[in-house]
Amino acid sequence: MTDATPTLLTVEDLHVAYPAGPFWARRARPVVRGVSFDVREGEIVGLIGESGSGKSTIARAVAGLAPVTAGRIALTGRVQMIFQDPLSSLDPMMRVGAQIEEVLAIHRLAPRGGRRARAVELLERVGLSADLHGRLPAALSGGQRARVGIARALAAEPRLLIADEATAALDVSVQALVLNLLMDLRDDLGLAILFITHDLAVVRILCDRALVLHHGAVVEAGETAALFAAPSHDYTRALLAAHHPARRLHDRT
Amino acid sequence: MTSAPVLVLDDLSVRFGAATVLDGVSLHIARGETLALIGESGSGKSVTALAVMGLLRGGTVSGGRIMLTGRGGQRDLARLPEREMRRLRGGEIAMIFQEPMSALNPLMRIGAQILESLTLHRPDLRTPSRRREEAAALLAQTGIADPPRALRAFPHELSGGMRQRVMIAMAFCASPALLIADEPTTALDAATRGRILALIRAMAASHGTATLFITHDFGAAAAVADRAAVLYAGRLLEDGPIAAVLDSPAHPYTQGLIASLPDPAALHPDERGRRRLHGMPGTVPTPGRRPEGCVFQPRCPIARPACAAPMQPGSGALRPLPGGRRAACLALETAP
Repeated sequence: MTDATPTLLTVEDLHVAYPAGPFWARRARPVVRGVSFDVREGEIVGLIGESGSGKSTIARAVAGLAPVTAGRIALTGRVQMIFQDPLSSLDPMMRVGAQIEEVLAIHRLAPRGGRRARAVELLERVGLSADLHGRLPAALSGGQRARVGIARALAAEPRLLIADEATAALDVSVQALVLNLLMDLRDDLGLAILFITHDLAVVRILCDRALVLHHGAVVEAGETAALFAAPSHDYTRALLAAHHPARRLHDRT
Repeated sequence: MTSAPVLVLDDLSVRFGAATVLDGVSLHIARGETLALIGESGSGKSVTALAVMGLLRGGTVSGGRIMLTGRGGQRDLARLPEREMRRLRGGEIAMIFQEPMSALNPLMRIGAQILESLTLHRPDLRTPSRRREEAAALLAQTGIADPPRALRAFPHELSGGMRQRVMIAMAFCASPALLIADEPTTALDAATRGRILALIRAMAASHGTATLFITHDFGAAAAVADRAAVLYAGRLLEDGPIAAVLDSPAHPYTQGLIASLPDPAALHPDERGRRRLHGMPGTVPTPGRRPEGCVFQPRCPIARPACAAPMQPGSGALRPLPGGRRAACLALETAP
């Protein structure tokens, strides 16, 4: 990553608050408190945090889905999201190919006659066979659905992908292949990915940089390798200590 | 440990309609021991738990035995009438699930729910005040800081970790012979997960409870279990001491799983020299469409024609390996 690499997303002093309390005494409950970061082309940035840390809210704010109370979000190009459970984000009644073609039609990215060919190309790009084009989401395995979610996102030709716990529900053997796919998309297409997760092991494999969130604020940020090697904030250290890879068997008392 | 294992599954098969979901699974758990039953989705690990609890709705035990040795002697749970099964559940057989919110009654205070368990399963506590004392003591044992306050709370007022602690307190209220824990830490944060795993281990040790710990998470298995059994497409492919299974897996499937873990040590160059994870191509066969021979054979990197040959009855069983391990793989049998 050089300084000349274009920045696709700049978030400056972002504040998000959700309304809370009874209707006669509504107040704003701050969820994100002054978060700043950027994401450059061809870079995977991890947003790490426990439940309630504000990581998903930041993702939603970038996608325009959360009430930004202050701050600035500057985005170059399109952004697309992929989610943990593709079954709830894919239309269960619509064939896989048609869902991808719908995106092509909405964004006018392929002429009517060329949509099918492009949908098949996208399915193959994410490692699926062309004959999945006519299937319904329910007929697919979890890993195949995750890939369809990615293909559908890619159909909009985004420069930034936001992945919110996108591999959390997958079995490890399937997760490994989906992580490989995300790394391929970064390397081959220069796609930038904002990867939201609570899984530190995945961050370590996938992310070039990472931000650690706690109570809506960034407590630490940096290159992934450096962050794991020498966490400087107490919370990061606690998070790393709590995470046990399968191989660290002998620490147990 | 000289006494009989608390739980023995002996060639257990479970069918849902025409589909065999669990196919000849044999395993055992001793008093105070924790066995991690590791499997991916569709492996049959939760069906194993449901079979032991007698909660197979729509499915039937089509073969084998489920032997429980507890305070009431030895019984085959596969053949126990529902009335007796109901008495065992929550007493000699305790359960904890992934989502305590769905196991707790949202409209009842925590205290009332624990008292209900104590009334049912602890006839030795004769008075309500004794039961209330015991409920508070149980919560204190699970590390809840302010038991009286937790007893007055409704489930939604507690955090996920606190709710799981309440479930653990209830599970251990009658010193169960067997604890079945089905993915109890999957929904929790990393920090909370570690503490809950340590708590389950400590509680099981102090009560001498045998634990069947069902998980897809190797980290959780490593933290909590003494032994591991690996289930794939309804068959047991490998078992042995946890460190041996995780550090030097014998079966090609287990090897593939471990190599798929997001661990920097597992990264290897792909055909274009880029660092990638291992992964396992293909998908788990569904119960109606399992292959002949070894169930893993269609995805196995070392499969030979013999692996796809139809199996003789009983030949799918695990064969012993050195170090108290067993695996079901033809390649391991012919090795010197």
